[in-house]
Amino acid sequence: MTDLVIQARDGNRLAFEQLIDRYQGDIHRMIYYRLRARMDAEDLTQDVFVRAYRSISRIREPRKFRSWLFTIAVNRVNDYLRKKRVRSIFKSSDEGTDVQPVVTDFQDPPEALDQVLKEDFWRHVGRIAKKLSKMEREVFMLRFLDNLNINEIAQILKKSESTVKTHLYRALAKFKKEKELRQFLQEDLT
Amino acid sequence: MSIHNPTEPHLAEDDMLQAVIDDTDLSTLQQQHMAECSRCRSRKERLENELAHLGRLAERYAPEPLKRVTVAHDKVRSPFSIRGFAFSAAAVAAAIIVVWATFLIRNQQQGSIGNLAQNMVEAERLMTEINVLVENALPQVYLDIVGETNVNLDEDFIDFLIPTNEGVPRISALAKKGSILC
Repeated sequence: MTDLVIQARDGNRLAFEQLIDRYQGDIHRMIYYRLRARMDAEDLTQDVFVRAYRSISRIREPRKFRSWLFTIAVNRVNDYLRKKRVRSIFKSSDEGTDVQPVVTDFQDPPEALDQVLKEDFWRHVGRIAKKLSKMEREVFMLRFLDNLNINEIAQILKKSESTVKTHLYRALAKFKKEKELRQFLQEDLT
Repeated sequence: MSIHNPTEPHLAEDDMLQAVIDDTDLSTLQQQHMAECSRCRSRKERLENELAHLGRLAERYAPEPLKRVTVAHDKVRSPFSIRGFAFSAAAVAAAIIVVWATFLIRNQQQGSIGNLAQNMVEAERLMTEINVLVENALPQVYLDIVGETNVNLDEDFIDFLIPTNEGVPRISALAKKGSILC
């Protein structure tokens, strides 16, 4: 992987396209987890890779490409949410709600059940996300939804590892109190 | 399977969270307990499994990307995009400011030249009026009474009309006219 990054840094576009193939899914999911809006996730994923492509010649440590890419993604998501917040001030109350489209098609029972479970899952995740502070939410998602390690999270958020662990500890303490989510996870496991 | 020594306390909830985050942060004694106590290990594994399953479900319930990301060509900025529109608007505004400033400066210069020319015209008109008065001090209304505004009054006629008194005594001059002195 580091070789691909070095090649891409040296201007090899095909190498960068292989990096896209490898990381597009991760970045798309990471953005979707935070926005819960499919089209916005598509646009932001595209934007993250375009930005990465434009600045990959400046990457200093190719082996940290994943952290570097996630840093761009985290910053883009934060920018997007900030702009959305500012825009919402100027919108009327009926325009301000960003409701996901409701699926009204009748589906086969297995798919319908999956749809119910899916909505239930994201409702639980949304509930715990609201209970966490911004930093707790970010470290929790990066660690357990995006599957990054403590060192990578520290690099992405430009914090020390001990700071990341402290926020993660607080987030886990709140997660443990979320009985419904934990029950949901336990039932799905069994 | 190791056998737990009942005299050693199990890990507290706080330590369990610490162990899930990074078990090397536990003290040596706690790490040793964790290695030997199946109950504590199972508590930790249960929490870790829940968190791992949370990640798996998130991945399962997130949609796949609709299209592959393309970075083959840098996007050409469309003038109709928001950024393009803002850039175009800024350029137009800058052009308007430059043109307006140019006209303003030019008008100011032209204004000063115009004022100078107007002052010169005023001065010339004033001098003309003065010259006219020097030539003929009678106001127009008296000239109208005379009835001949454009008559060329020569020196002899003026002398006749208004005789000079240079070197002539006033009394004798009157006597010449046949006046009777009282």
